[in-house]
Amino acid sequence: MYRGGYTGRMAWIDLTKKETRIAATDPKLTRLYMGGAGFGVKLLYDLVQPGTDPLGPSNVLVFAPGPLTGTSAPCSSRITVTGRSPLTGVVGMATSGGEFPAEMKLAGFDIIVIQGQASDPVYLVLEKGEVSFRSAERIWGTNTTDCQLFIKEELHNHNFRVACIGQAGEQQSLCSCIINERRAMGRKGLGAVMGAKRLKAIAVRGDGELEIVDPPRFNAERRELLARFKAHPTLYSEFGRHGTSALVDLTSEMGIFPARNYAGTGLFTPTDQIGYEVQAKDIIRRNPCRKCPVACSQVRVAQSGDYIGVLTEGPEFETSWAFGGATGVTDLSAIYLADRLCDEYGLDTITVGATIAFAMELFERDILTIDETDGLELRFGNHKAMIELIHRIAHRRSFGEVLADGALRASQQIGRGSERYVMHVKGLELPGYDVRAAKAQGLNYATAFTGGDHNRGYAFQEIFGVPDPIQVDRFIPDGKAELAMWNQVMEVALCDCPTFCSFMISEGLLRETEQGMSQELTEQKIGTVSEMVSAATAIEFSPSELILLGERVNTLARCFNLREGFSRKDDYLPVRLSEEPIPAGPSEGYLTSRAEQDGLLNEYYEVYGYDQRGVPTRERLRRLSLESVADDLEALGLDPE
Amino acid sequence: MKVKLRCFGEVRTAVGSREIILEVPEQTTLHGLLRLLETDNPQISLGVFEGYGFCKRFRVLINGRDTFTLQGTDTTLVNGDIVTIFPLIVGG
Ligand code: SF4
Repeated sequence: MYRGGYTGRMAWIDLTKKETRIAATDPKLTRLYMGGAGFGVKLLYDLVQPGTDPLGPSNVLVFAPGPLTGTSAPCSSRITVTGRSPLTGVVGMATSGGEFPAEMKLAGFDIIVIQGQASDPVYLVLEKGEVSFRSAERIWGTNTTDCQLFIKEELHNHNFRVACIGQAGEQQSLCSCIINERRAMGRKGLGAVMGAKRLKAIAVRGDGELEIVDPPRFNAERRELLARFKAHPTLYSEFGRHGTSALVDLTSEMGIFPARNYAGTGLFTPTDQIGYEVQAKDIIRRNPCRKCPVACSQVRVAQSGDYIGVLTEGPEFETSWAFGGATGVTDLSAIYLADRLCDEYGLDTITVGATIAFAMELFERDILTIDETDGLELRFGNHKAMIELIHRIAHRRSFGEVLADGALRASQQIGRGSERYVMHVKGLELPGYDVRAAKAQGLNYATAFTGGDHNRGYAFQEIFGVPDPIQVDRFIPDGKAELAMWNQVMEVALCDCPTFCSFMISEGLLRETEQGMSQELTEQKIGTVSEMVSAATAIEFSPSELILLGERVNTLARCFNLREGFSRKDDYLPVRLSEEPIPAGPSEGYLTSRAEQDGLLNEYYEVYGYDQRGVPTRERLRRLSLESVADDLEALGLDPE
Repeated sequence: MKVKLRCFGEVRTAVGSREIILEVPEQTTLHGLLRLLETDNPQISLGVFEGYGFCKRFRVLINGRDTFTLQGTDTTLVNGDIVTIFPLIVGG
């Protein structure tokens, strides 16, 4: 029995020596960083020196659930994994749900830190507060489904939950991710970090229990939260039924479904072929994360198309976009197959789809020839070529070798002006919202500490029209710097540290108040998370401390990136978005000019307490209990004001 | 004048089609259009007056724009306008 939201234990795992040291979770760490993303960013900053090779033994992988993970809080089985991203060079952080997060916590760990590099393939077994090493020789080369199955069989226990890499991670493809069950700790190439460490998998089995310190306080808040879920007009009826798939249609109606590598937004809106009502016919069951009453996650089987009969868990909206909109493919069964293949190979669907879309544009523009693509007719809409390329990327075969490290690196190999067509920020391919007509979402792409990432501060106010904390016009930049910061801070403080599913921010996690982003109103809005974490842990995380936590983690992550040489110049959107207006549809004519971006960045740095280079001021760092970081920046010649 | 209505979710089910073209008098407001829709399809309740953005269960867009950035329900429609009625979705 673990009391108070934390197991009190963390594991330091050295793969080089095949040794584990179990230590007490540092109370100072929990006080200032709470869990999840907070633990990840703080340990990354402390452990990974500037210039560390992301694929070398000195990079780390920090797996961290939060104090609510494994409790009865709804939608709380989440985990973050953090390391230096080999794809971007900045903070690489990915989150996932399912069963693994709660199971790891109940196996007795608040954090596992993986360091070093094994001499031969291994996997880890975490159970009853102990860590053991096992050979992964025989499963090196397997896909993620077979790997998970093999491990459960070898351990004679199908209750183990496994996070693992497929062939793509083994090949150190920077498009790779880490898969647990059929969920992805996606983007940023963290699968390649595992592959470089020769760590095939982590198996966890949790038979411990977490005791809440103040059950009446916890349960009162939990009941209130569930009541808000129930009262939500469409949470169960629409989101529970369709998951994120409805975004294909909604973003198309808004004119922000980025088609054909962002060149054809508004010109290509295939909702009749791949929209959510078509996808709904294929749903055979739901597969919720543990303790989730919403169950947005669906399993689908293609009822028609060239790949009839293919089954996949998903596809999420981003996947439908990456393999549908971005590539111009309209055969839904091909999107299902692409999704399934990526899960099996351990590939990130957004990065792979966006990279293939980039290559397709080069082919259409005659920058790439059929000789270079090894015979693949890489035209938009050619789903056979898309599927073939996924196989080749996973195995680094022929033209797949060029694309296996994402679009930016591919362009560096190809040259001939191809950089213009890479849709990325800091090397991370952009997701499926055309932010030329969604300004807060765009500023978040530009400034998110992980690169062009929608998950670090999703502007649900613009995408869903939800008036919380304020109602906004997505087309105009005014006020969006403050909103982007609010979203980034809340993502970390309410979801990625405690942990809660990010979807909940727009679905009931916030208490209803009048509109506004003032400190006072924000504190009222986030009372539920404050109450639940405090009741679970007996550490009072007041609403104002939650806000500081969000600011601290975002700022420390920015300082990690500054230390790696990233700066204001890396906080801009790709040139297409500032020079080419959206060509058609409801958002026709919009772009995000360089001047507009400059204005937004100036404001954004100001609201965060950074100078105009994007460097946090000493005073700001001091207020966030990050004084020593100011000295680090000064030593690098960044001299915080 | 003609206004195009794009329907999703239960509105689509009620109307029986993704897209319908409605012939409405000049100067028709959004409110007028939605009332017409409710009258023609009694099974739909759009909750026009609920005041959550526009209404609690639906997101209504005119040419891709949220109506609260226009004149809300009082927005006067013009020939060729596209009105989208989408179940309020969240997530992302
Ligand atoms: S809403 Fe979806 S992603 Fe979030 S916890 Fe539930 S099933 Fe998992």
